[in-house]
Amino acid sequence: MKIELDIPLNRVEGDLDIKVTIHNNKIIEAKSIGTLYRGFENILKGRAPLDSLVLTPRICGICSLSHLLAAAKALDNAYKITPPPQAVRIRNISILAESLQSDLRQHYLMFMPDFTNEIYNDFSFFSQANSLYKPFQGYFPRKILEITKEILKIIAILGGQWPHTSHIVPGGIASKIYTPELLEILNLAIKTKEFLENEIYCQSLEELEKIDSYNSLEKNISRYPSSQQAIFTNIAKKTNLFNIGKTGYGYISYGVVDNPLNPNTSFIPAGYSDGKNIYQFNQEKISEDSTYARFKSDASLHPFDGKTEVDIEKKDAYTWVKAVRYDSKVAQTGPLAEFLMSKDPLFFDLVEKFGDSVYVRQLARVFRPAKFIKYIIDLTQEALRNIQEEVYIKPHPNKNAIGYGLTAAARGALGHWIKIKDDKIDSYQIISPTTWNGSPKDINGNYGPWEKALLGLEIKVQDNPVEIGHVIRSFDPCLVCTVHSIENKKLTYKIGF
Amino acid sequence: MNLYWLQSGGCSGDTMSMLNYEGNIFKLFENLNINILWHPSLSAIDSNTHDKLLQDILDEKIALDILCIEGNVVLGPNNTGLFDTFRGKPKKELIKKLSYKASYVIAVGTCASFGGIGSYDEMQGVGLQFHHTKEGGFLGKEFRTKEGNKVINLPGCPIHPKALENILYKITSKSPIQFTKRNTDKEYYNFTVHQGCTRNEYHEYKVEEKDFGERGCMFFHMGCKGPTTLAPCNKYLWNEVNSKTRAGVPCFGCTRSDFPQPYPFFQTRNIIGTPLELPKGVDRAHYLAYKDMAWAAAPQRLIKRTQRV
Repeated sequence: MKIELDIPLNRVEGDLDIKVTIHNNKIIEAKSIGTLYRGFENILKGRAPLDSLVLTPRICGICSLSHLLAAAKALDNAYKITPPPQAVRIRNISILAESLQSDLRQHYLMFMPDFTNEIYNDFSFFSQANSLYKPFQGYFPRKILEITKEILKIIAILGGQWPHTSHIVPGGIASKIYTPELLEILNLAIKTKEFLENEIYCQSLEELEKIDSYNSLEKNISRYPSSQQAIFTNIAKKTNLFNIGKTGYGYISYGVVDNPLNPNTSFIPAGYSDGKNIYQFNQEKISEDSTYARFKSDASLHPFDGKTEVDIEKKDAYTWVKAVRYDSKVAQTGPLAEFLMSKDPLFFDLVEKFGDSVYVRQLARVFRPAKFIKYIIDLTQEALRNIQEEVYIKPHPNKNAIGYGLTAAARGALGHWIKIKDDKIDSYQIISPTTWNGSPKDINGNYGPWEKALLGLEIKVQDNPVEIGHVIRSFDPCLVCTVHSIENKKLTYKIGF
Repeated sequence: MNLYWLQSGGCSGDTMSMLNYEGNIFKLFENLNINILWHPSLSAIDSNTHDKLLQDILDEKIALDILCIEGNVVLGPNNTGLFDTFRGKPKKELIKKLSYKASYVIAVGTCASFGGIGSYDEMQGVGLQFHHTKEGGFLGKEFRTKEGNKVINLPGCPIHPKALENILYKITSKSPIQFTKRNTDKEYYNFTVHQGCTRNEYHEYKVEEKDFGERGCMFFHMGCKGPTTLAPCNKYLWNEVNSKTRAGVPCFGCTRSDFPQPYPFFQTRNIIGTPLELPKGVDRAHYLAYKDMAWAAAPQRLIKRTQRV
């Protein structure tokens, strides 16, 4: 017997409904339904180009800085200006701080609370999970709030506040930073590093970095059984997270933070990977097709050429989100993609052994803060050594220009594409990480990553399908970013932009 | 007291900002004896339990003391509300039903208060009891809660966590609240953003910037709304450490009912070099004379921008 379930998923930034069809306890069809449309691309049309710096951060309260950076980089690109090295350092510190706190909040406030679900009542980890991760009362929700608000002070020192500031501007940053402020940032970063070493990983970051295979991870876990990687791995083994949520798709990253001296390259390179090899990235290979979207054009188009003419009557269309693809291939994005692009031996080994399962994808999010806090400390020290350098070069705006800005938000690849005509925004296209991960079927009939990850998933208790939460949350979904997707009776797709 | 938090047409930014509360926000709820029935980003009850909770609230089996709405009420497309749905139905219907069951309704953020992002566009976002400057909004001018209260507006994009703390304290302790004509708490919002800005001395002598990267005032050319916006940004600092104007970013007037203004940010609309919009209560002719004299008296350390801000 086939059963249709419609499950609103909370602890997601924005509203998400998952619609699945279950046959013999297995998911045979899945649709993810974002339920809010705000129309940002139309909100931006006709406005002054710099207004994107104020409006796009407000797409998403949790990635607000990432949108700001993408918007500023799109204008850098349109006005053909390279920001000075010191400005790139400050931009990098800002976005790394946002992603770092997001990873911590995502794992400890969004992902782990699912293991306090009553369905796990009889599991040996249940009481530990409750004392550590229970919303409002658990040890980690409280601890994580305390440390993440310290991390966010870093952005506030640089940009005035978090969320929703606009200190990153085409040509650099809005205002010079001085030694006392940078020293304050350094102190906050060191405090964060100590928190990670003492409370999360239970070892020095140097020791953690030496883990280079699943085998050495297991040894590390037995040495530090109270570490978060140990507790998560233990729970993952008992809840089948090593086996569920696989897509088999490739990975995409636009690169993690620009090199200050050569902003065309990044600390972690941009790339596409099939899980074995890494291929050079070229933004021209990004395209969106609307085969299953209710828009007029069927062709795969680059975001600069994207059209959004609604076609309500279009046959077979079930969504208002276009399918974004890289070189016609489905790709997922996020921390795991970044670990692969950095040729990390641990994650290549994990992907080879367990595929892109929930465990592997989420472990990347558990480990990424270790990498980012080191970047923040190094960049702050570098900024201190170069305190005399300029942070802003005045651009000479062209009244007619096009540009794109690509960056790595907490959830993965984020891109803005802007067309300026007569000094006004003529078109603005945003492809967010959730557009990649939550995309619909494409012209070749390939499912988007979330859909694929849910297919075949076994649901033990239909009234309490906690497994769906594990799978979807391992992608760190962000639904408030919905830009061009509109309500369509029952089968609705409203993900990404 | 029981609190239910609903997100509608917004970005979750107010929730994110709330989590930056200088103490621990969970502890604050405990201290004020607030029982969070539901918060979409924080609660872990499954959807069936949540459905039952909602029904119990609507059936008045569970008292709804405080209802927090984050984000605007979405009326689009064409007043159907279908751009924002809950379980297939326009969310605006749920907002209305819950509002009539609550003792206090708090509009968390500028979107919920006045419409905010999407209030000039196809989304047709409106505030709970205001649309921009006009009273009425979604629930109507005459709306009162069960206990006879108007919607309490907490504007800000995002809200400052202190604004939320202040209002929750006053509600739970039954302290009197003096309201402005926009239904905001007068005690909290009775500052201009300009007050306490570290660029004040530059402002005083009309040492004004036309571009980023410098130290002067941003009011005359760069669209700073600090002197015309009511919010304590430079009194109660953001994330306890800073404010946008101190960091060289103009105030965008995000607590104002016309935010996000339908004209460009980063530019000051002006008449013959003087801002069209002057600080409240100022006489234009006198202001012009004062500013010209101030400029003539400006010290070199400001003109040369050697003074830090």
